[in-house]
Amino acid sequence: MANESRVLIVEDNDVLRVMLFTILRHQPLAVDTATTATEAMERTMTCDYALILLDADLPDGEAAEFLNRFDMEHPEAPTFIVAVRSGESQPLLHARVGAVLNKPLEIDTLAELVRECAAVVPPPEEPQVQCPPAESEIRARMDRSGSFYSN
Amino acid sequence: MGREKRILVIDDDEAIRMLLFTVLRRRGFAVDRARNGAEAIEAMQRCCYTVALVDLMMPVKNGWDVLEWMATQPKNERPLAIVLTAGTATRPMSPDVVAGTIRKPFDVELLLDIVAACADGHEVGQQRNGCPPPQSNEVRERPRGGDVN
Repeated sequence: MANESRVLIVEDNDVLRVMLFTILRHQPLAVDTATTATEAMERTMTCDYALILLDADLPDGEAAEFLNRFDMEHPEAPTFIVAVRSGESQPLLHARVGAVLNKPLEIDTLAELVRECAAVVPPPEEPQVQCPPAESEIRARMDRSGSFYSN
Repeated sequence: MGREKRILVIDDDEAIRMLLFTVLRRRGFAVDRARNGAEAIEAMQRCCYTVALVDLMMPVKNGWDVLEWMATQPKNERPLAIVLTAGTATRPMSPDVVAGTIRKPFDVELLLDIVAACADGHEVGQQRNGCPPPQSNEVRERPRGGDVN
């Protein structure tokens, strides 16, 4: 949907990424995913995100690198960034990080936080020409047409 | 055909255990039930599970005991845990063992989708020798449109 806030999940762990996508696609949000910082950066070049859920434990310091690059490329973007970290990892200290969640994730808290944070940033008034349909929208279309069935 | 995705429901509340057992079975999963932590550990020693739904507050052995035991098992032989909580969990949990926590009362559709997501992504080893058929196989659907004699 054009008027839904758009959210990007950046997570290299397949199970967690799919789980996060599953939780957020149940919310009134348009959801995309990326497995690496590079892929995430590419997505931010074509779509405006209200919120980015960033795995702070990406390998080789990719999360910090992503934040630096995002800040450089989109210094004025109102995007709210939530870092998701395991208890043992170093805190991801960066001015662009608005909130930190610990793993394992409290699913209800996550859904509520993302919904509220995304609502603060209004979706773009004009459709973004280069921005493709969100993964959640594609998945919903497939579900409706019966061409996709999980399990 | 892929390997069987077997789910273990661990809850002392019979209503919740039956609800989860039924909805998961109807989604096509192979499902077993455990009434407490001790039964759950026994089940996991007998069979390999892909996902375990773990209640925390239970008699005999509680959910924390189950999670602690799971943490000692090899990663490819233990299920991913989804923890069902009645309130705020007071002790930290290992993200290696627990994929996420969800508060009761939970949204059944959301929970089913999360189980499916975890089951799709998490692979466990071959089923153990001597593991009996899942309890969900024992349930037969009643034919529609009338009583069964």
